[in-house]
Amino acid sequence: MSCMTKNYPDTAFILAIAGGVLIVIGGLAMAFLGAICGTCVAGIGAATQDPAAGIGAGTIVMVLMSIGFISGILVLIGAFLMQKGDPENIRKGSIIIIIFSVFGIAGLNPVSFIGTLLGIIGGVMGITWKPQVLT
Amino acid sequence: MNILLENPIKLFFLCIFLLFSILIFSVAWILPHGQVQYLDGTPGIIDHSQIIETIDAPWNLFYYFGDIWCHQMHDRSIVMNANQLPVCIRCFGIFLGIPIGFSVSYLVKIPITQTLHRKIFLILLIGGVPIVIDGGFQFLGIWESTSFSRIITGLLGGAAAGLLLAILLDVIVISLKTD
Repeated sequence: MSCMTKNYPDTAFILAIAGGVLIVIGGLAMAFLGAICGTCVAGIGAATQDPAAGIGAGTIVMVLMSIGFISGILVLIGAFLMQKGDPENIRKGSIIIIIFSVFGIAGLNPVSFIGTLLGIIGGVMGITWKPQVLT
Repeated sequence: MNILLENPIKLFFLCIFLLFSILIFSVAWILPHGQVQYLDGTPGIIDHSQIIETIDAPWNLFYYFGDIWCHQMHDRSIVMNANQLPVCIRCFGIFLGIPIGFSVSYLVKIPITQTLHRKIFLILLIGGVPIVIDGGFQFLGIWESTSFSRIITGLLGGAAAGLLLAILLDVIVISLKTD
C-alpha cells in the first residue's frame, strides 16, 4: 500500500486566497470611492472657502482604504508562501495572513470585513496544520 | 503577574485598548461644556471637519476617528457635559468590550489545537450575530433597537473581537517561540 503526505494546508490556502481577494476588492473599491469623495468634498469646501478640509478628508479616507488594499495583497502573498509546502513557509505564510487579515479591516466595508474573517480562519488553520498521511 | 507577562504583545494591546476606551469616554468631560453636538453623518468619510477643527489636540483625533468610523447619530449617542461622545452607543460598547475580551483571554485558556478555527468561528458567531440581528432588523425597519440593546450587542461584539485578537496574538507568539 502506498502512502502519500498532504504537503500543504489546502483548505487554509483556499480560505486565505478568498479572504485576500475580498480584502483587495474591498480596499480598491473604497480607495477609489475615497478619492472621488475627497474630490467632491474639496469642491464643496472650495465653495465654502475651505477646500483644504475636503482634500484632507479625502486623503485620510483614501490612505485608510489603501491600507486595506495593500493588506489584501500581503494576505495573498502569505497564502502563496503557505502553498510552497515546507513547515517553515507554512508558518511564516500563516502569520502574515493572520496579521494582514486583521489590518484588512481598515477597508471599512462589508467586503473587506468578510475577507478579514476568511483570512483569519485560513491563517489559524494554516498555523495549526500538521501534515496528514493519506493512504 | 506571570500570566500577564507571558505574552507582552497581548499586554501592550490590552493597555492600548483600555486607554482608548477610557479616553473615548472621558473626552466629552474634558472638552468645554456644549462644544460638540449633532455630529450625525456617514461612516467612511469625514463630514464634520469644521466642527472638529475647533477642538484642541489631541482630543480632536478622537472625533476624527469617530467621524470616519461611526454614523455618530446624536439620538443614538451618549451625551455628557453637553458634549456628544465621538462614537455612537453601540460603537462605544464595542470599544469597551475589546479590553473585556482581552481580559477574558487571561482567565479562560483556549488550547491551540487543530480545531482552534472552530472555536474562533463560534466566538465570531456569538459576538457577531446579535449585532447583525439587532442592527440588520432595525435597518430593515422590522424593529427599532433601544439604547440597552445597542450597548449589550456592542459589548458582546467588542468582547468577541477582543478575545479573538488575544487568541491570535497568543497563536502568533507561541508559534514564534516554538521556532
